[in-house]
Amino acid sequence: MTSDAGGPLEGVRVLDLSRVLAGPFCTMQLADMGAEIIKVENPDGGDDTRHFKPPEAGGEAHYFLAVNRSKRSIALDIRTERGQEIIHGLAAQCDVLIENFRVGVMRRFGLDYASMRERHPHLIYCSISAYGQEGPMSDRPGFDPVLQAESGMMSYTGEPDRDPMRHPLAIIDTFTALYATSAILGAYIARQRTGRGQHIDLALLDTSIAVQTNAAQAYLVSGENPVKMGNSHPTAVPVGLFETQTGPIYIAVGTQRLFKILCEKVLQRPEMFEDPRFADNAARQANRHALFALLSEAFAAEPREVWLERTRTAGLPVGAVRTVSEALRSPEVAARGMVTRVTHPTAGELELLGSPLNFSETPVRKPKPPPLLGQHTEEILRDLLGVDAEGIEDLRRTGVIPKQVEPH
Amino acid sequence: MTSAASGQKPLALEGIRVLDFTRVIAGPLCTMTLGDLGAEVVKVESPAGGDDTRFYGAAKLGGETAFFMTYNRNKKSLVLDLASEEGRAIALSLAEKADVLVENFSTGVMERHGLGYDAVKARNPRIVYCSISAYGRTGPSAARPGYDPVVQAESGFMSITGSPDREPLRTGIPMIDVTTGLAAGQAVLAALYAREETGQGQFVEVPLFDTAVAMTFHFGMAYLVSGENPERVGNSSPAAQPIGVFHASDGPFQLTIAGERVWKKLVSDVLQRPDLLSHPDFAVNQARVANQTALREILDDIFAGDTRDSWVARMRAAGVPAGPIRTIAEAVESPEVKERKLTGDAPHASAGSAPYIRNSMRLSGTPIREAFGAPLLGQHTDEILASWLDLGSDRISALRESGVTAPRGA
Repeated sequence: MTSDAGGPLEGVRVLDLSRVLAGPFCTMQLADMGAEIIKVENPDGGDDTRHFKPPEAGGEAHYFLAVNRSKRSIALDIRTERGQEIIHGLAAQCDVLIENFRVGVMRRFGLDYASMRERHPHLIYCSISAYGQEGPMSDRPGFDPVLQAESGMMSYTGEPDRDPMRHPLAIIDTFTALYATSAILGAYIARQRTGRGQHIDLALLDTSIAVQTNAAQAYLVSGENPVKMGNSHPTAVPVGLFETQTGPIYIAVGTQRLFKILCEKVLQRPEMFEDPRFADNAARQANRHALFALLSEAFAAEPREVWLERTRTAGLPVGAVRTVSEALRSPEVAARGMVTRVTHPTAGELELLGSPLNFSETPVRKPKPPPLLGQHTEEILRDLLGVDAEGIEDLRRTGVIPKQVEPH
Repeated sequence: MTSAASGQKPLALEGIRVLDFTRVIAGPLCTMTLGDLGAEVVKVESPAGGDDTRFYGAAKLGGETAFFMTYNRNKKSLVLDLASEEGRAIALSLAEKADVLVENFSTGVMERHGLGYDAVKARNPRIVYCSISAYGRTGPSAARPGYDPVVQAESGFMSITGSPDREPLRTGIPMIDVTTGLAAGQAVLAALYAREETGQGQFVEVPLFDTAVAMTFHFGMAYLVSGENPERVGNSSPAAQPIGVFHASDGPFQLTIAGERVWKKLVSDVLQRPDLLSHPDFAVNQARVANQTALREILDDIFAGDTRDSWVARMRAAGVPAGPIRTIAEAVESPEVKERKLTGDAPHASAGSAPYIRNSMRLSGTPIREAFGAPLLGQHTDEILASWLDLGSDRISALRESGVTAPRGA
């Protein structure tokens, strides 16, 4: 459910100096929940992801479109003194500032937390970096695949006989964005009580370790490393991917009860359940090869829909292994409204993914299109800082904001 | 716990009470985040063993599984038999005293126990009631149970993971459970924030499936704008080379060369093979993509000639993005993890102390709380009944004897 206005964060204003994924995904969630996002971009091309194409729509890269809905963009050269003064002016009217520059960059501009807290004690200032704001590694740049490697996460992703596997999505950035959002909200709730803002230091490294949860905890307790299992499970058998006549399915049979259902109700081969080779999970582990061969043969004999229908009726955990197009056009996605539509200034009718958050009283906001670079520069300067036409012209002339207005 | 226990600074969620009916991963991770931020989290568990993950996996400490410890620090455990009328009445009374209730049962279970949103709201209109569901609490799939890998498969998320010549691959970590737990945590926080403004609680729902679809991000967006399905690229990239896993003499590392500037640094500063720069097959990215097999052979030969640490150190000095592919052990014992103090030890009832991975949120004014370890089953039953409901010791004993509450010390 979405609404035109509102959202739990209605009235919250966020000054967003972040680029690429971790910061922008964080502020997109705040935007979905109703916060007003002012995205500050450099006039010389803006957020790097504006150029991550193809594919594109209306000249805008899919990558940028994916994580910047419902924000306004101001193009501003923060390397200039006047640009920095404008940031201070905006910060005075914002509740949250978020940035993910290399450590030291904001200090150089006089915009780091230490420089801003005195003028803006109410400000919740969130920094996202690769290895933290302090210490010997703080100047190291962060690359998601490198962090996937260094964190240990890749070592147990993939098939046992192959190289460790990276996820193609920048998942450490993604997790960091989720933690950043929680941290900002936690700080906001504290501010309702204390009246004071604070600094939040989020590091991709920290998150890459924190999200390994049970795998990392098992190591801490036992000293043992998890191993690559591909699509199967370390103990439960059968778990994995099987080809049917018309496409792959994933089955997760973790208990004796489910195995019985699989043999009797789904495969209609009760003799498999009676087979001593598959008598219990330990036996199935020992005879995994024979069992998988039988299952592969059985599943290949019918189309996927038949298996999905039967497994669903029987209550067995099974899902179609869908392509992205199959998933986004599936009845489940339609029923949940997870693909939405906006009208974009250059791309026209544009589909966007939705938010997974549902609120009964303060629904997430109806999405607005991701902004063109600097699309809202003038209105933000006018509405928030009271800059008049002459002032705008002057900022244009001196190159603090772009000379040419982007098409609306 | 008060702020005094964690130093002079206040906790962000000090005074917030969370009644936690969740099990396994997504729900417990959500409530653990709230606990880390300072909320008092009371985990309601069944007398017959409690959370399933108390029995998951071989790794144990003090008789408790590492799996359970992972998602349940900073919580108190209260045992309550929801099959009994008295147990359900106590649960409803606890809900009346709570700011937040989180549950991840199958659709309909909370209603059957008389603990659905409407029933709870009638007694406590300020409550933020969060349901973590599989496919949503309404609609044709509402009754289906949710499993992380099945949802990875159905959302298209799995189709982009893995090598192009192999089947789609599940992630090593339970990606969708974890992201859903984190998303649910922030939804609860946003609703708590809104409650300060409106005075009213609300029903909040975060389904695994919706989160998985949202997590396809720019891959999903690429399909929506182009109509084409993204391909699996394994560890490599169709757009730039060399990118992927390479093997030094003693272990694998990840290398990402995404532009000419970094390529030049690699061949001149790290490999000291300037001849590759002028070689027509490798001079520009387009050529390297076309000749990636030949390039890989050359690089494999070179990298086999030295150790991983040596290569990675040189690459780091030259500003080339590369990192060792560490095991969990190597990662946890690494200088980076030590420097950031990412592991800690928390007091634990049966293990004495238990190691844990710290929350990655760092807040200067309201720090993450000093952790206490995951609770034993029913460890805090009596304490919570006394402090939340003002029950006297006779009544508490009677509940214990009649089996409405149970394990731990009785």
